[in-house]
Amino acid sequence: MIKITDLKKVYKTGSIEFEALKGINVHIKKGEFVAIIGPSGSGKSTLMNILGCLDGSSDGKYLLNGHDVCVINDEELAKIRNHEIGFVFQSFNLLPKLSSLQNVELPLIYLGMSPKERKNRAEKSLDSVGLLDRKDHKPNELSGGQRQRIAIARALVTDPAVILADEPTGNLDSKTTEEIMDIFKELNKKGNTIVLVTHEPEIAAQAKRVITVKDGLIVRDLYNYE
Amino acid sequence: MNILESVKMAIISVRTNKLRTLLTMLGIIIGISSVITLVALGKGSQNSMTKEFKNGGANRATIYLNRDEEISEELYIEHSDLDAIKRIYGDKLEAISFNQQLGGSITLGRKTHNLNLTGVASDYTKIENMKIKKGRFLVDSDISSQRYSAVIESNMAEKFFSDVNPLGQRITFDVDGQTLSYVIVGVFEKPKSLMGMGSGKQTFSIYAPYTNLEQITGQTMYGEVEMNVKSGENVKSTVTSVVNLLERRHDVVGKKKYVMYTSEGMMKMVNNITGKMTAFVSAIAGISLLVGGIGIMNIMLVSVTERTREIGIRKAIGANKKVVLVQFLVESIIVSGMGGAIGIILGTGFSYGIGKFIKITPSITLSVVFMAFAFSSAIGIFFGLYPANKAANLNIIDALRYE
Repeated sequence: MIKITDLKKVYKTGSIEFEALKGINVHIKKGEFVAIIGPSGSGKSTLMNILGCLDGSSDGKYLLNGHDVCVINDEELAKIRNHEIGFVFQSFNLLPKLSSLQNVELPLIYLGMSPKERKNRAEKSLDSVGLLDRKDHKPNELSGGQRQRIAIARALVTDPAVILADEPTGNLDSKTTEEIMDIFKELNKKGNTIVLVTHEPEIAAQAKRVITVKDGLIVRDLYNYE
Repeated sequence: MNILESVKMAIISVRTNKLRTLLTMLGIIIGISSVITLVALGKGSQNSMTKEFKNGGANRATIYLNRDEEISEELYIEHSDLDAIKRIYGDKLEAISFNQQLGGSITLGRKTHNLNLTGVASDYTKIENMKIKKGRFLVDSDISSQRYSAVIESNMAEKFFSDVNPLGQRITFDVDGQTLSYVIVGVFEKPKSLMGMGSGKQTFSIYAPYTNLEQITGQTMYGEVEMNVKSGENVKSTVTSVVNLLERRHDVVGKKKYVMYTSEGMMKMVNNITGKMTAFVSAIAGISLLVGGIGIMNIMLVSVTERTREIGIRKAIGANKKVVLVQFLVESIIVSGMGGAIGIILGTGFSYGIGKFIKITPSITLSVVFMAFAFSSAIGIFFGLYPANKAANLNIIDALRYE
């Protein structure tokens, strides 16, 4: 599913070079629930951005569901983000002017789906996070937990190869955090591949596999056995 | 993603910023409405002038002696010239007539009125547009027997013969130091004309046989001759050949002793001038369109900055550069296109309002409306392109972090 070989990322600010990733090797299989953990500045966000095709790498190889992501152009990258990846962000990143349903429909619009089919799929996706009754509400009429569930519904709606969650519980209280984590676990049970970035060990402990990143390198890669 | 979805999205964002959108549109609205108003009124006045010329006889022409050249006695146009013209070009001419005028006065009670006695031929009604209200115009026998017959204008008939039928009555007035008495054979009405208005004090017009006036003045040679070319004939070439004939008869070929005036030529000139004036004034009004376009660009740039995060989100979930570009471009086209549409409506209203005030029927053609709309949309494209391009090329990660 995801195969990363010797991935490097160098940021240049003027003449100063900073190596955020110094050679990452990782292989994530279909149906895995992986948590990437590490202190701030460790390079986990950089890794996340590259995994999500939001940013390019400086060196190395990244295969996502058979696509060699490093060698394709901008338009194809947009297509991959649309088809293969579902994002869940810390700050939800919903469009405030659109209703819940419209927010969930958005990736399908870019997919080029017909309005009728779009609505069907979006409603189904909203139903799977238990918020179908809030489909006409705007994000600012919903609680933080509800917003994140809408965002998860949006990530799910295109049936992506992998769901990438970047600190999805960072803005939520402990009770809501639990709810959201339960949704992720449920989705994983249904066969979705999930990669979750966090800095909280308690969150990471709920994943099946924990990859620890430090100073741009993977320092530990462990499976949790229940 | 199709264009319809882009339009839907653009409408949502235009709606959420109603006041801002309206203010942005204002520049385009003012520009388009003023251009529409000016063009409509310009065309309208052109139309009414063309109509005026048509009424006054678009085929009318006058040949006269060129006063810029040295004129000798032999160059004056004589009866034999007129006969020759009639013989050779009679089939192309509706009418041809000499014209001799005398100023005079007539007294009614204590008041003295000015009058203008004009000697013309019997077919003069085919040259000067007039309506015979009573009786008849001059006839050939009036001309050949140099009769004291007069056709007076209707205003005069009302004033002098308010309670009797003027036909057959005698009218006496002073002309050229002589007191003359004519029998009224007809009453005519002057056409209402914009150009003939406002000459201050009223002067009455009386027509009499030119042969009769020749008797009074002793003048039998003329500095000018008036004619009306048959419709269907080329006015310019017909009158030119008449000029050539006169030049041959007076042995002054190519010396420019005779010149011509055609209302057709005059009409063309006036139309040309008004057309150019309209274009010039519209171009000045068009500057406001430029200002409006810059306004749109300004607001679109603000909008791109404001919506940086939105753009980041859209790109993260699968919008490519083209989609973002099209979305912002469609937004600016909608703003400018709506401005254009409102401008067209307002401009139409203004031109009818002002037209009523200055008595010109505005002429709004479909092509002008279409062009105004197309132009305003083009402004949207032109001034929207830079902001849209900026939005399309935003870096996703930076955009997502933007607060």
